[in-house]
Amino acid sequence: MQNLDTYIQSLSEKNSAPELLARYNSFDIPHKKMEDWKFRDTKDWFQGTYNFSPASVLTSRDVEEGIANISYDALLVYENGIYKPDFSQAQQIQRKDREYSSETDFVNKLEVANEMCAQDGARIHISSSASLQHILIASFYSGKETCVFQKNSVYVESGSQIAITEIHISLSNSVRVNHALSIHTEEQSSCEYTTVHSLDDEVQFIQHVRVQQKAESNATYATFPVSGKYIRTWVQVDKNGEHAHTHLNGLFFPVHEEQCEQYIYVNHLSPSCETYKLYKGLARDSGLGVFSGKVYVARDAQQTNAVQTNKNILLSDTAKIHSKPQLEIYADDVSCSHGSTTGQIDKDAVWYMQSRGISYSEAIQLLLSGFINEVVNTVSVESVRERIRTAIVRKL
Amino acid sequence: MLEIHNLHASVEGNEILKGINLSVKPGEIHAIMGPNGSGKSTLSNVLAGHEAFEVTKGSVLFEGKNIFDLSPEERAWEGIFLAFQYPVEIPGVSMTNFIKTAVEAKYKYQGKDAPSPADFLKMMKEKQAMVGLAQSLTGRSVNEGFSGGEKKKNDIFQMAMLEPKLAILDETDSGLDIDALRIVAEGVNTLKKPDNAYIVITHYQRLLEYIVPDVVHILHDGKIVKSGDKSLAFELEEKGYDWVK
Repeated sequence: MQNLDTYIQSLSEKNSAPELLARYNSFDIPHKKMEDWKFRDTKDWFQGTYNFSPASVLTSRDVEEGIANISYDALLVYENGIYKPDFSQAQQIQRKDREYSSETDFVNKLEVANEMCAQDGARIHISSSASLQHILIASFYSGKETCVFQKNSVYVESGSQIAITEIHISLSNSVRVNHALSIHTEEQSSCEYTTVHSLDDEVQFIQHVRVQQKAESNATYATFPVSGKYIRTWVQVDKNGEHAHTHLNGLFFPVHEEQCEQYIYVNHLSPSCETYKLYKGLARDSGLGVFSGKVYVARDAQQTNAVQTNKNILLSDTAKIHSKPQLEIYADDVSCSHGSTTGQIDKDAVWYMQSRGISYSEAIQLLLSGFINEVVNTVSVESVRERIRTAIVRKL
Repeated sequence: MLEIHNLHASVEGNEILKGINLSVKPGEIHAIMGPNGSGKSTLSNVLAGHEAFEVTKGSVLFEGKNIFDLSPEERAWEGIFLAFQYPVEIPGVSMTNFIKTAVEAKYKYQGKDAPSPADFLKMMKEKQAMVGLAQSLTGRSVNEGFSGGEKKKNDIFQMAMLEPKLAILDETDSGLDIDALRIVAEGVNTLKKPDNAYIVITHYQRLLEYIVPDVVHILHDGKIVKSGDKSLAFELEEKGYDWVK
């Protein structure tokens, strides 16, 4: 058991990565006076002592239960960031080599920590010759007082397409996860990546996602934090080429004392690209949800079309949702809109349904199902869609 | 069927209904006309069971049952239907899902088996055609993006699907052009049977040329001040509401 600084120091010596260590040390610990860290203290990640190399406890039963009812063409299984070939079915997947990069414009100390500590995540290379349509990644987290790292990367060759779903499942309640994902879509390629979190109620999960798009590519990233104490998703999309289109979707539903935060940043660096963001939040009990979305349009990114929508419903007096849509536009021939609404259940709609003989509780169910379906229905793989829908409806 | 006796009701402490007496028998169409603020909408909302309205005195018996013992949905299952003046939009809830849930709830209350999906779809198509509701609208969310006329037709469509015993049309004609009015009235007239009844609440006499009432009541300041046959509506149109004050 040691703290993160000590662990990183020892890793840096082992792997000889002085630049990364310098980057790590150059950052302060994220604290509440920073705009994107207002809602939670992160000291525990750095000052707590953790087991960074837990033993494996994963069983085939865990895997079966974790991926139940989801259809896939290939399956990759990870435990605490380490690949488990015995549980996987991945003959068709081309794996890339692990690259350590200090050139990424890391955004905070935790992202650098991931770069240094993540050993063996999914590194998927999709080419047009592969006949895969849907890859399922089952990432399990286990152990007592563990802190684990996983970094996945997806590279989609020109003219190829793929749908990937990653389900994060905790096998213990005292694990915390630092996860990263990078997606590169080459020209005329397409990637749909859906993330679902089924974590125990004390588990914390922080993720950094970077998407790089070339011209005429389509990228869709969707996040569904179904359960877990603290789930933080940070996404940055860079469009490096014309007609690169992006769909970013999410549905968060913190209850009890859960906290779900989404920071979704898109950079339009080239002209004629489109971005559509649809994030919906529900919160109950003392749940806290955060949506911060920004679209940045560079001066030469003319003919940009960006739409950001964040709709939230509060189901209790103590639930809170913070919504911060932002636009930073330097080009003059663009169409950018953002809409944010936060309110309670529409009482008139409930009354209308009651007067037609639909009971109060059933009316609420119908309304909330309708609310969540708009986001859930954006997932193209039906079995994943149903898994998410069932999990969220159960929470209602 | 409906016996209203000395009904007093308030909203936010203000008394709106000050002693309504009304008796409606099966097969009858009653029209209630009155100026703004007379209590027309309050009456329909109280009958349907909206919680914002407090009944302070009086009784309402529907088929011998005290309706104040029943929740809004129970009143619907017993056979009371309220067609709204301003039907609400319900995004995310599909028309089909909505009406199916309502129909199934009613059948369950009555101890009957719900119709099979095929039968239900057939029923929907039939009733849609009957009221002139475009096929394209059933794929949408309830009332979402519907024009005023389409929303009213949707209410009549729901009425056709739920087959209520007592339908209260609360200013159904407001916001309708003459063609939409005719279609709504045709729908109502087609659904009219010897064992059901209507209360048509309206501001204007025009609707009553198409839905011909058996009795016309004039509501003023929370009370029914005059009742008569259909000619009363013409008289009111001619003389204006000041005549009854």
